[in-house]
Amino acid sequence: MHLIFKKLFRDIRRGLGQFLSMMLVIAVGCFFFAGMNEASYNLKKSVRTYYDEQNLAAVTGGFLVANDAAVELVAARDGVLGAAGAYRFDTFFTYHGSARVDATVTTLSEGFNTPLMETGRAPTSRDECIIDVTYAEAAGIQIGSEISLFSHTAQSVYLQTKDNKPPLDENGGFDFDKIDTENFNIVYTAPDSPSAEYRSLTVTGFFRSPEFIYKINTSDTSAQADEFACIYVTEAPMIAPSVDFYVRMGETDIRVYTQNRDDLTFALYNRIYADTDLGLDVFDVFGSNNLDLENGMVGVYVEAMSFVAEDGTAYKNFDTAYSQVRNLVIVIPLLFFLVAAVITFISLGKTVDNQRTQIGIMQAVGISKGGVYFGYLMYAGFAALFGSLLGGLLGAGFLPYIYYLVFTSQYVMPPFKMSFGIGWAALSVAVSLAVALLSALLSCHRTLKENPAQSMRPKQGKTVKKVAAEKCTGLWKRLPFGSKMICRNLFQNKVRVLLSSIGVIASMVLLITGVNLKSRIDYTIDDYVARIGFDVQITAQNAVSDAEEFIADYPSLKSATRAVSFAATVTAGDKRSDVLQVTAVQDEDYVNLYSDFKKKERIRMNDSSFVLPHYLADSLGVKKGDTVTVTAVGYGACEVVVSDVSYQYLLPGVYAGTDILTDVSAENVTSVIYARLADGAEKPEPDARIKSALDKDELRARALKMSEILDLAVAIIVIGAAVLAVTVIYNITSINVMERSREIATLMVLGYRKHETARLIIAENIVITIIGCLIGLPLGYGMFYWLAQVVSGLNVAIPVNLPVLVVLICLCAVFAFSMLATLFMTRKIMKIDMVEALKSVE
Amino acid sequence: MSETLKCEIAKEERKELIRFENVSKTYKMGEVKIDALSDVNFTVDEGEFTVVLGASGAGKSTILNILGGMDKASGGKVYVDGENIAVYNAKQLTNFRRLKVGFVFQFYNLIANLTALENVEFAASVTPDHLDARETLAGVGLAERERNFPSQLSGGEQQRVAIARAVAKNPMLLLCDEPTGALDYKTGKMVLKLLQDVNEKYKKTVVLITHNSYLAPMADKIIRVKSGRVEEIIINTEKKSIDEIDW
Repeated sequence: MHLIFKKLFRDIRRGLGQFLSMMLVIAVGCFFFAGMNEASYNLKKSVRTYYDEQNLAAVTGGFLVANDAAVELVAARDGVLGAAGAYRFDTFFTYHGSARVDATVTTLSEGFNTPLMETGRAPTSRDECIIDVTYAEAAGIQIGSEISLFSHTAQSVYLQTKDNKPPLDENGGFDFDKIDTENFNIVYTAPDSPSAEYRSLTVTGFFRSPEFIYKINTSDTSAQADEFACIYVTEAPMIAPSVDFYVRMGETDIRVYTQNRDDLTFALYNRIYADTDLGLDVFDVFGSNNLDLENGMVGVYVEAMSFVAEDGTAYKNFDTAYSQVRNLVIVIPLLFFLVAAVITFISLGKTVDNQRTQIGIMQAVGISKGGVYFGYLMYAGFAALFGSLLGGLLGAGFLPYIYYLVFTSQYVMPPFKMSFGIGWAALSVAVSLAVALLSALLSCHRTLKENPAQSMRPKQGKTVKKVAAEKCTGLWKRLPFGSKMICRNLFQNKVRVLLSSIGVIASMVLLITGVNLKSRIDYTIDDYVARIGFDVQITAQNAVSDAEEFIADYPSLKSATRAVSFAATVTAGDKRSDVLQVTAVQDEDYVNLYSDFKKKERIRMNDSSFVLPHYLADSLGVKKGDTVTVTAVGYGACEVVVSDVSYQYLLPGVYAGTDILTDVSAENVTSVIYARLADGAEKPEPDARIKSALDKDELRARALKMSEILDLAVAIIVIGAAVLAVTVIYNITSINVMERSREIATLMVLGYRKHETARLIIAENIVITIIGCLIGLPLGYGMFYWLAQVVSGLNVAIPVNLPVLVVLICLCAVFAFSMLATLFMTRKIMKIDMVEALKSVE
Repeated sequence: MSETLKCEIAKEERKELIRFENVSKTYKMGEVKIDALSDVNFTVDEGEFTVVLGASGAGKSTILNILGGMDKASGGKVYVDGENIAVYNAKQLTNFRRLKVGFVFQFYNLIANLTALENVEFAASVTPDHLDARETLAGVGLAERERNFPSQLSGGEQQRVAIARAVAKNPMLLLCDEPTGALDYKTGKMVLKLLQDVNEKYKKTVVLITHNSYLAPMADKIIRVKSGRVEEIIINTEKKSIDEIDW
């Protein structure tokens, strides 16, 4: 037995390049298999644990207004395990005289969405707050800093009656049941109005929160996580010190009620969190509550703002990004294992073939077939074992942290916890061994079927026949001898050629997928920038009603228009979109929308226009002319006709004319200004009136940041493609040279020069590469198409075309990898000893 | 009735083509040194049929490999047509093999994917003044087999193709390494007859190595090699046709 091992190690040493290339393909495959599985399992587990430990609410109900009685009602329902209320609003703050900073403020609720304190402590009084760690670190806020928070409070509420008659009962008293709670308009206190309230809060700590794993600034969805803050407070007023309720009767608004804040005996919320038994959906939990003033219960439910945890925007966003890369976990390692199986099959098959006389002798001497099999299986086994251990342990050790780091660029992740399980590494070893041993077994079987006497006889030369191409005698005669040899070699060994090209096919598939994905992502960024018909996006410190008037003091700006963005959902039948941004533009010239992919058909908008992005139209099943319902977050709802569908890929948004603002009662939403620069002028800097001014380059930079996670996927794919192509071509060429060493030596003896001899091998490899590319191209497009569907999510829709340039780049890359491997082999060819090669029996 | 061929060309009319001067060849395998050749001296004239005779391991293949530019001598000088090829670099040796040498191997070494005719054409195409491939192939009696692949030919036929391949290059020197080693008696004699005819007809200098001493009478010169040294050089004044030789 020890001699078998001795022979094995000598065989390995003699064909070290081949052994190493087999090992490398397996190592890389296991690196990705074990690494990415461990990484995604680790990430998912840590995030799920985070959600559980921080009590992410299973369901969240959106309410126009609710109080503790409504919370108790919800908590008392069958299947509800607990409930709590919270008030969330979007506002801004300043500190140390800084420009206004957008913020989402939420009151802390007992037992739900508990923030994880990074440093400091949770607030304990109404004058304290905590800020998310991402913004705090970026802005340099310290614990103990004072911020001035604008209180976003309702000042007036305009209601309508269901029957357009006064909302009076038979006794002449106010009958709330007659109020149409679907149609209302809330007027909030303006930041610069005399009644505006600014609270001074002391920062007591920094946190991470499960409900803000992905931070969204609803007034600027392209804003980065470190540009705006999430804040928790103990309490916040929902209404101004006094709020008037009006009922619209015809053209007149009649004040029917005034509520003083100090007279309230209960807290007000606009969301109720609940934990439920599985199986209950959102409606089951919240039902349709109404006002029951007699019993002191306030609960005006807004279904459009309600969701289960898994449908929450932040949750979904993270899950989508996680799934995008997760799917690569399955496909890429499969490709590597397939190629490893092919290499093992071919390499060992050839090795066994060349050693058949030895095998015959071993059997003649008395070594069993099992003993002979053992030696070759061990060869494959060692390659698989060393490769998989190396790749699997490295992958499981490093990739989880790299994965985590990439996600932190866009998500506010819980602290990294590495739980290095050897499970995935062990599985990758097991899979590699199984693949390698099975391939080895199959490749050895044919030769080992022979009895010892047959094995020791010189092998019958392969019968060579003419190939079909020889029928074109005119052309065939003109072909050089080298081409004839290559042609016959390829056509008579079709299976070997196909197997040899598998590495090239796999490489081409990966390259087309990765390069086109990157190219299409870049296209979406260009598309996003092309949509911008202005030079500068200005966010004002205060509300702006007239853009031209605003820019009058800025000589660098030559023209401008007002654009109002508000968060909303769009519903068509029983299909509802996620919360997205609707932008109403005063002058449609500042936004370039097209109804076709090639951007030839410009969409012209008017005041009543409502343009959906194509991905949304597809998912809702609507087209131009259909009617949808728009529900603005915190405002009203209305039905609107889809005037057009536009092709948008990155940060797709709904664009509308200004009529929608009236229809959903969002006239007073803070607007931004789209402005054009005067010739040669620079954009204005933030000042007392301008909160921020972003030019096209900055908007492009924001868009680029969003694609960082996909850059990781693309990098993995391209590296994988290079490894596959180089190692497989090297391996196959090595076998080729070994098989044809006599032929090559004969050519040398005949006087063929080095480059003439090498040319034959190179030419064959070129043909194999061409075949691989032709097969790999459609397969690659198929994989890209699938991946594009997977990767497309809330903020990006990947176009699925394949530009010619991408195909050319991939072809050049594959050929470059192929030639690199061939060059390595050419040196080996030159070192063939003519005398040794020609000594053996043919 | 046996015939005795007399050596018609007087020795003094033949030009010296090959000269080995104190040639040695040492192989190093780790720390072990093997002296394959030691102080080998001999000459071969143009148009001579020379047989290098010796037992297995005597060094005769080494002499042929050095002479054919496939290996380099460790010491001494190797003159072929006035040029010392022992100092040639790899490129010069390639050109030497290309233009001046035709090789016939024990195991034919034909290109499996080329037909008989293509094998001959393939080799001939490397030299500018090659012979016509078809005629050469016909000259070895294989005109009707020119479209067959080596796998479709018998051993003898393959060796004849190999001879045609070597001859078609129109080399100065034809080197044959145990050309009948893989053949039966009858076929072997046929091949030797062919080589003799090539020598006579094309006036090619032929150097043939063998362990079969019965072939000595067919040569103009016999060089006996033993243990890497030239034991004796015999000039055959009356060489015989292979037809007259039996073993």
